[in-house]
Amino acid sequence: MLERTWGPGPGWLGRLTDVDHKRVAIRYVLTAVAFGVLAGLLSLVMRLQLAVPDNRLLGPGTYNALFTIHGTAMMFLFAVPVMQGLGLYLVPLMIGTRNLAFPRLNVFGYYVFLAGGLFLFGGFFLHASPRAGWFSYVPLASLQFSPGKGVDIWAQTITFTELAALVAAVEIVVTTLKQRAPGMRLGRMPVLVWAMLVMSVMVILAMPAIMVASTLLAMDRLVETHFFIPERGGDVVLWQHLFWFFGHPEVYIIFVPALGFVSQILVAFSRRPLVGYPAIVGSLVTTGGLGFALWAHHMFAAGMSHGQSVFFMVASMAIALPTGIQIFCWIATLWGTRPRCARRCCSWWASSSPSCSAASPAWCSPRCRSTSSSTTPSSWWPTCTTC
Amino acid sequence: MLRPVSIEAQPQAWLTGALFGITAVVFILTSAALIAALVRQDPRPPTPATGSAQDDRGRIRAVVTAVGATAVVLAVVVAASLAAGPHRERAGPPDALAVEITGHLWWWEITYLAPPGGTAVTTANELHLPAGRPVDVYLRSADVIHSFWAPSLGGKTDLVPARPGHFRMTPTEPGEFSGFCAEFCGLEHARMRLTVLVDAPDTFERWLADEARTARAPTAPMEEEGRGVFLASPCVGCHTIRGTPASGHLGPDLTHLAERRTLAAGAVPNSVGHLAGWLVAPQDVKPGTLMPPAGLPDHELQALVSYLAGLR
Repeated sequence: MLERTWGPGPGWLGRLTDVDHKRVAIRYVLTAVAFGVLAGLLSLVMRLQLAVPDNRLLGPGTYNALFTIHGTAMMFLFAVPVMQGLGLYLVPLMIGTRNLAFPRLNVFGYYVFLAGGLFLFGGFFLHASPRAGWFSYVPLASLQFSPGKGVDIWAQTITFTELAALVAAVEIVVTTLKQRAPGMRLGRMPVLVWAMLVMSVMVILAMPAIMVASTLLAMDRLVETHFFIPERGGDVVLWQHLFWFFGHPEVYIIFVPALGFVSQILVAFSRRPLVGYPAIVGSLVTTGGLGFALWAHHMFAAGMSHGQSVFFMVASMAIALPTGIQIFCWIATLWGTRPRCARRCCSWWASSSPSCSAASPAWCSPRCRSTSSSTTPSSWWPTCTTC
Repeated sequence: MLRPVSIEAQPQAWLTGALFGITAVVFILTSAALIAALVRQDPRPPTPATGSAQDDRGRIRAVVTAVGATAVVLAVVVAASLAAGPHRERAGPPDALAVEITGHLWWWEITYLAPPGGTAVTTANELHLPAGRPVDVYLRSADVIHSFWAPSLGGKTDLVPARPGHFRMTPTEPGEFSGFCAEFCGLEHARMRLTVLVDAPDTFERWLADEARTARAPTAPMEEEGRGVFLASPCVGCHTIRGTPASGHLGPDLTHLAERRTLAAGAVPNSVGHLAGWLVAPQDVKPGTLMPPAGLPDHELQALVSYLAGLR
């Protein structure tokens, strides 16, 4: 009965319209990995070209197309979606809810993402590749210097994938804030869920900038507006600000979930609670915030005032501190625990799978309550790892 | 490893070395702590109190100490970065040389701005500078964004359309240094090179005076014929040869072409053979270049090559 209610519908249509977050998330991750493999193959060809000087394997135009597609695919079709896919899979399981807040929207997001990726690689196979770099700096990406449909395809891919990223981010934020198991206060959430929450808030704040930028670029190219055309009063540096206001947080959008994974895996292997849970969560949040204060360190050479360059330099240095806090907490957690993959200890996979320690609360909570008399926030979750 | 040859590049090289040293020490210490954490065995068996605030007090104290140390190191690094620059813009010394560099798809136009009472001198793809004298470099772009970068001299700065840029450098020792376009600018970005030649001040002044002259008049009949070919061809639409009616501005100034070391912004050495190849089939030498093939009969081409190769 339950299976009939929650399983996919019959046939192909049933699979395509399946709204279960685990199956959609696996699809998300596999699709992202497939795009990642394609992008990796492109980089192999680029490496072949660079293996010897004055190589004639690729012409400059093809080479530029390859690195543009490679960069775009790695950033927009692999790195972010793969992290978000893992979040869509793990977050509901770790906070104890049956599905994401908006299951159908989630499926919609996946298809939009797929469309974006197919669009980009379709353009590549139809010889309509963008060639202006994954950052598409104007005026090189303007119609005058990049004629043809390549950059339009790039801009459309960005719009598709960023829409999908926003959908996934909204899913994770709403699910985390509204659907946690009874008793799981924010301060008791697993660190990985915190990392996914921080990442998703960053996505919501960062992605609109690139969507606006790519839309303005498409308008410049298609309906002759002049946002980025200097001869007609446009400003090319505006593009760089909009792009990097997304582009630098993007680095942390990828990095923050990775930090969360390390914290989570460490707990399983060291068989003890994390040292400094509040500090680690605080560091994740601080990293997310500071990530928005240093975008212009990609633009030092573009010319800025002395005050600006000092501000962005100091911000870029400061973000090392929250990362350092986490690394030191990890070392303190590992200290003396002799972590190893003993038989009784969870294996890596088990530690991140729902059945064991990823805090499926129905299974875990009673044991946690019985074994942990402590009231520190960190003790709720990690005792599960003693399974 | 790094060879800074300007007053401005020296603190940058020093800062790079200092940051490398500091981060190497931090990396080694952190790695050592990680290894110690993994190797060492806590003699006490885990109890239900393991991980409580009480139990973790020692560990948290260690973390706080390490974070404090990190903050101190970061403060030192910030201070060192502030000391190394970039500094607030100050007015240049009165004897500063003023050079304007204009980025084109895919070559560099270099203009020595006129000193009071003098004339401006324009050349391409070779930046001659005097040692020991500050140079104010003004940057412009004629098309897309380029970036001037001569690593030994420092000062990587973008050439942004409609946004004039500026930096100052003071080369300290004579020599020949490579420069590149450091902002992806399309098809031939990789072949947009620049040679920086720093000379003793008197050698530089001699070079500049030579460069300011109009083009040398043809001496051999072949060269004479070549000049005729040049002036009758579409070449004049894009190129300037001072002293002749040719005054186009889309391509490099050719007044003293034969003096330069390379053709097409470092694509090939400047020899008679390469020059002829470049004129006949520029798209083979530098695919995408805006230079069209000359399309001349053999004897006219020969005459043209001998004229251009004589422009010393």
